[in-house]
Amino acid sequence: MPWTIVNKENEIDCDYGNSEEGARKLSYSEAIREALMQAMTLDENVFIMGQGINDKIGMFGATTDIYKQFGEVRVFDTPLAETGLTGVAVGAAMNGLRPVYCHNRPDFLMLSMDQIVNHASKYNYMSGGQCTIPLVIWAVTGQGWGSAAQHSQALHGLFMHIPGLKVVMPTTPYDAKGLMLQAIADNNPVLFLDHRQIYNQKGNVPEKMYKIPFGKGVVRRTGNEITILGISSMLQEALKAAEKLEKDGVSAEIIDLRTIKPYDINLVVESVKKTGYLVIADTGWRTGGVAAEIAAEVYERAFESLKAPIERVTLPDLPTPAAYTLENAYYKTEEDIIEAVGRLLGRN
Amino acid sequence: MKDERLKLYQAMKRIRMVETAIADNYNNEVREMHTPIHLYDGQEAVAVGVCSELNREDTVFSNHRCHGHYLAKGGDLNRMMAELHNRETGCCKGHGGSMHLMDKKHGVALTSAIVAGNVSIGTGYALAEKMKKSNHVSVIFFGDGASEEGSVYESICFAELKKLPVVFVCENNLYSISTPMDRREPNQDISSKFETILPVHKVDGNDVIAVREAAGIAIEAARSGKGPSFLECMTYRFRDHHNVGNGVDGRFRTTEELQDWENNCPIEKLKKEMLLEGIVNEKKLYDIEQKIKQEIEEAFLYARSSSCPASSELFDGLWG
Repeated sequence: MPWTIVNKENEIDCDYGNSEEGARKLSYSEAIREALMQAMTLDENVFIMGQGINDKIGMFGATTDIYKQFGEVRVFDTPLAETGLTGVAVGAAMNGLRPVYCHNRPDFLMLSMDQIVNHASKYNYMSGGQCTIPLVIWAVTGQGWGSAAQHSQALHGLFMHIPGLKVVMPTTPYDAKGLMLQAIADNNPVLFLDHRQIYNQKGNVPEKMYKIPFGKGVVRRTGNEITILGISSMLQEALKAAEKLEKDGVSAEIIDLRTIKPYDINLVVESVKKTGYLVIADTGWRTGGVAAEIAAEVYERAFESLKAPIERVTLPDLPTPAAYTLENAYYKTEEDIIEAVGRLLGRN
Repeated sequence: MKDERLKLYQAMKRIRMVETAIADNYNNEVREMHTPIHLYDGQEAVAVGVCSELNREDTVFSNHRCHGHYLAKGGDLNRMMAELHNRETGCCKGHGGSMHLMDKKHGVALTSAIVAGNVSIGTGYALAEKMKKSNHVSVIFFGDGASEEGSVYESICFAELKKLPVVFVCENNLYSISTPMDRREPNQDISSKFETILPVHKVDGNDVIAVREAAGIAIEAARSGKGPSFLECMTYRFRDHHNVGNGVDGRFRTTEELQDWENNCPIEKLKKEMLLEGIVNEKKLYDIEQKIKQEIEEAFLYARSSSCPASSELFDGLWG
């Protein structure tokens, strides 16, 4: 098993990408591309598939020209047959390979739900441990430019609900690389759901391989008056909000869970015990969503530490509209987070 | 061929006797088989004919009606019976039940109760065989009902595109639960839907020799790199879709229709033929049955004397 030689994040000299040592500035998509190529070099069982993957701009630059190095057997374009091809990926994984199946938009994963929910997530359990399924399904959530209701959905809440799936949501180039390597190394189906809004950001990324363990969150900014949890692209909004809040004399602690199944509930609870207030900012919808799940868990574990009810900053329960005036009303920003903080601290 | 016919007969008879024993015990007072059963009676020639051409390392992908495929491929009978009885010694440790019999060691790679769910997975398994440059073949069993699912078309096209070592075996038993073909499809000739994509063989699924010959051609093509084939086996289910009845209560078929097919029983046909040709005599047939009967009794004993999984094992095996 070649993957045992890849260090875990805490075994290398990197401080979540903050350390300059041994790091280069890479864009988010470059970091993923490096992870894929290193994984394919390390383990011949790794292969990648997806619609348009060998296109110059396949997966927003993250798969560009990989086929030139590894050939079109291990990097192949797929027909528009998501149900069947997801099953193909599951079958290949059951037979010892490590597929990464790429989708430009998670909206198309709805065509794959039978295989993801009825099959991939269940077979190790249902077969009494005979079928491991080391499968990565990777999709990039869209936002803006009038993408409307079928090219913009953040569906991580649906997948979080299903036992047997792991759900990964990186926010930095450093995490993108380390989480992709862990996702490929993992012996279970992993949904790797990232966000188009963070693809062009740059950050420190070590050249060597490293795996980021699932269920280990990071405090992105230390504070002591209020805790703000930012999921996926809402982390950027949370960080911007924290800058502004600091100018107003509010010290916010920003948490990035990095993976939402499993998720680092202890990190959230510890922070809430310190601050007494929690805002959860998610890219998904409100009802039955990830923010609701995390809030329930915090109420159960830290009720007595909370000085006020938890605030959720989420999308309204609506399909995404196209017109920019409606888009602006629909999506949440740093301002919504600041307002939520104001409501909690009574400083509006 | 002489010996082979007797072996094929034995394999079919064994499946029929296992299913009969399950049916005889299923609704007894104890009801220890706490699992929905879908019996294979009538279709034995398909599983046996196809699997007789496979090696141990080859794999099969089955559906809710999986007992026959499991046994024909060499799945362990004791562990099958234990699984039906919800025991920890079951082939899936009591996590799967009757609709999910799997025995990886003997090539029963996956069984799905989501109709057609196994078809794309078997295709992907074959993709991995090709990428690993093995010479193993995957066989996917599914029914006429499953052939209506879009993922079957998707899988067949992909398998042909990549020339995968896989054989798609459609067991056309004329009913999807209780709905006949003419209420479901404008074109009831399933093979014709796929013949422009890949090689198709349509055979009498109640003739084990015919099934075996066609399967042999398809499996050899797959093994030698020529790609996939589609095998349609025309057959008939003697039991109801589920449980032990026979569906002639006026619900979906007539007694006459069932009797016509029972007169075309794959096991009885082969038996008559062998008796006529003097390949076997009544004494030999009796001995075969006694041997199988004993094996089944032992399997029931194995299941009944095993323990059910402890509640402390509830979370075992979620993660690989």
